[in-house]
Amino acid sequence: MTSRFPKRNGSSTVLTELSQLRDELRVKLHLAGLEVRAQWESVEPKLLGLERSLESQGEGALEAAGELAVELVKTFRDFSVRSQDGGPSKAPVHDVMRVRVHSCQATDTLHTAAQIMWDKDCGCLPVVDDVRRVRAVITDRDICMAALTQGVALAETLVLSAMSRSLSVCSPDDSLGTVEDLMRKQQIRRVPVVDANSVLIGLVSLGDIARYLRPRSLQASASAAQLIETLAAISEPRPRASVPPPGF
Amino acid sequence: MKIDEIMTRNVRCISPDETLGTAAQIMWENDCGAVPVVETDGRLVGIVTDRDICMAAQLQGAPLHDSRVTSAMARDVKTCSPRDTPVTVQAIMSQNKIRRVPVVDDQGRLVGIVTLGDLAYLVGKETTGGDGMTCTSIAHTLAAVSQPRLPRFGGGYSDRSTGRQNFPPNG
Repeated sequence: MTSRFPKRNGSSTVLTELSQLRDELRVKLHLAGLEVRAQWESVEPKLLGLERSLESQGEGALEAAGELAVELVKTFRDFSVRSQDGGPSKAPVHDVMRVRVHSCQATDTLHTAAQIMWDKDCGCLPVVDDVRRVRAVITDRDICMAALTQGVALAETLVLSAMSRSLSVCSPDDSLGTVEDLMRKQQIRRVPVVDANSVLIGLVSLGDIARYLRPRSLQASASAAQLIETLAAISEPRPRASVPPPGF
Repeated sequence: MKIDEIMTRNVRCISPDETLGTAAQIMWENDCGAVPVVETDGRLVGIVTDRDICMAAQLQGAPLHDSRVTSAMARDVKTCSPRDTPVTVQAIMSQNKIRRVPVVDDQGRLVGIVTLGDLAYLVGKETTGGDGMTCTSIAHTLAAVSQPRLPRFGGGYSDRSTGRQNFPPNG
């Protein structure tokens, strides 16, 4: 975040910034819910106090007010995110996804796939074709179970025999809320992100979403609660019938 | 709220002398991703995960039934007591980037296991007595667990219970 309070500028600049910010937020308040209004009521007096002290004391107050100012800006950023329609769960996947995604092909051996997982310290590889269209996903668990059910060394088995049969993907323009829904329903932690031609462009995990939300909206209990629900749902034991052994 | 109120009891475990095939079988039958390794007296000596087995299969190049649990298990396991609070366990998870913590008694015998999912479930239910644990902190926990673990060898993560010390990549 670039500071709204560049030190070289005088207090009058800061004052202008603060006033603008306050007006901006007041407008947004029309659209906000009760919870947000309550937060505003606690913040506004502090802001007014800061503005007054800047007005009366000028440069000297800027130094003294620095900490408070930083804190206020942080609060405002939070506030601003929360007062958007729907908050951060409406943020698009492309804000969150990782774009450097390692992949493998269905004709690779499990040995190769496991090697990539080892080298790149990841547990999930999208399985792509020659033009990087996503066909399936394979996880370290899939490989473990394939090794069990097939009883042979990994070098003798293809990714094809162990990869997931069902595939869930999302678009970079989907909202985080949509992806979380998908994760909950499918009990998966990671979803490949594909373009309109099914070409792999990224990967988004539940952990990525949690990391995105952490600095932004953790006071926004609704989205945090949603995250919890997601994680809890994923962690529930799956009904036996829905877990065919990989490779079968 | 104490951990023994939310932990899973009667955890399926395995002896260090059994094979990775048996460990994978237990994971398959119980739809779980980790099996605690215990001696005959019930003392916890390690834990083996599906990822450990995957990596052992890759590095050892042998069928699972030819590899022993000791060749893949993590030996330095972070544990908690049944009397610990969820907040304490959450801290253990965050610090060590692990999702599962075996619960052991004062003699080091396995009495249960608690997962991040268990804690999330607890928070999701908004039960009272969560000892201040909030949606916020569980989200922090999940975020911490999900962070990349590099640097892989040595460094600050050498105590992580992954069993990596058993996998020198010399095959």
